[in-house]
Amino acid sequence: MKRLNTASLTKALPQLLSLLIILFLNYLAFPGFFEIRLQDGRLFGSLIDVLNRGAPVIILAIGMTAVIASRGVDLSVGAVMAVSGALAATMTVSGYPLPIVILTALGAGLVCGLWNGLLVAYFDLQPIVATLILMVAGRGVAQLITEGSIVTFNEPGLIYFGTGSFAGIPMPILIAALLLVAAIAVVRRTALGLLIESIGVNRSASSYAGLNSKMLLLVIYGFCGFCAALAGIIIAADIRGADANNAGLWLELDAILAVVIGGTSLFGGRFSILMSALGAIIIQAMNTGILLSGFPPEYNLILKALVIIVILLAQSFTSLGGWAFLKAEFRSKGTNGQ
Amino acid sequence: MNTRLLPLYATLLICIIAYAACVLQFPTMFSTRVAGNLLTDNAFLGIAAVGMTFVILSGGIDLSVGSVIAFTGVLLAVLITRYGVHPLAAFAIALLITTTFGASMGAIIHYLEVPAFIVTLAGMFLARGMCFVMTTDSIPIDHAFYTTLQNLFYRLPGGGRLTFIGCLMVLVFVVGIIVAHFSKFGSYIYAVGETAHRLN
Repeated sequence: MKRLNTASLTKALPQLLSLLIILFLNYLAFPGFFEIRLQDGRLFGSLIDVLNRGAPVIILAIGMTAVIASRGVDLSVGAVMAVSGALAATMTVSGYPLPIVILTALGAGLVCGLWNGLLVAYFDLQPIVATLILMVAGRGVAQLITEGSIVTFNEPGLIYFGTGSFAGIPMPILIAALLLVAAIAVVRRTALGLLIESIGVNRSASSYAGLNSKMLLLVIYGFCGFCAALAGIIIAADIRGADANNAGLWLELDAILAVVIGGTSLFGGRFSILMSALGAIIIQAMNTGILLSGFPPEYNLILKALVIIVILLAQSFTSLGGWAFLKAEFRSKGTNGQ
Repeated sequence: MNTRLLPLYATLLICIIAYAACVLQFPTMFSTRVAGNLLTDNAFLGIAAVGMTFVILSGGIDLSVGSVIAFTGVLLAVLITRYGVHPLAAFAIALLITTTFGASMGAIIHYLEVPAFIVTLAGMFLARGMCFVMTTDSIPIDHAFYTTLQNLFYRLPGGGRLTFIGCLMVLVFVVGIIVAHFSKFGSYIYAVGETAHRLN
């Protein structure tokens, strides 16, 4: 991981400030927001809740960061979540042991991701179109698995992944944190991160430089599918059932949003997995805040849209050079007479 | 044969095969009635696709169209049924608001250099949210003008109806083709898209 120097702190400033402001507004709307207490050996509190509810999007955002850094996008993660959740639920109901259930569900996500990677890397389809196929078809597959019904289960082992806790920390948070640390370690302690950035900046140049960019893309999309499956298992375990139609609905957009709020460019290249996770937490803090504030629910989407726009504008403002950019812009407009 | 048009031919071929398969199974599919209904039912999609074509040509994408379609519907219903505005005036207001909405997203994309995908995603949330703010009920529109519009059709041989909105879609196609291929503006859009493609 990069050393936390002042330069990287300044770059993270818009996101950190947004998070602090949103948390403060949450505190104003709901004075007990920062209270955390230990009950029945598990931490409780609104802050814990933000992390717990945000865990699936954090996990999705980790995989999505790698895909977006390679100048792609994966629209199918929501559908892949539905597929893995459906598999986990139906296999549990059929009586398969827990390890096999988990491995199969994760494996299915991996296969979905590899399929996307195959289309993008070897068939040269545009990522947005290639993953759109599975976004539409995936829910159909999930419905085939659950045979159109919502499969519910009561197997304590699987439920533990959604609502259990270890050493006081809820499992979803723990899983997301472990994946985050592992992913950062792998991309930053090895050359992998650099290679991903390199194919994101210029894929053909990377290939000419001797990089097996096709294989790398395959691995990246496979990893994203794996993350989606993990998030799908958590969501299914949380509601103790698999809903092929609604599990992970629109979450691909939240994941992409988290990555962009984290400052990774949609045009590929430099990326930060940690900042994407921060982006996911910002989104969840916002969602929780809107719910806690008791605002009429009609306004939720508008508020969300406005907050996103403000964060993006703040980001674009700082990346364009802040006030100095505005001044220069006005000066050039003045001299050009445009 | 122009190789540049190969994808178009492929799509056309699939369309013909699919339609033929349908006709084999249900012979009445091959009638002016079905053809007329296809035009009428898909008019909104076709018209939105013309706009989307220009956006994609320029190297961007617009995720907000679905929400904007919903927004227009709710706005029209509220204006006509609740406030008694004449449909034509309501159409003008709706077109003005949605065009301004799209243009502001374009301004953010261009001047603030935010990716189109994300700006229009926020726009999608905003437009959908505005629907809920205007009303959470479903409001029926029954204005005499709508009946007049529905009764505006040309009866084709075989009983099919070439409705007003079907013709409107065809008209929008024609205007879109003229703007894209035979106007300075159209060439500029192609140029912008090509530059975006080369730079990124």
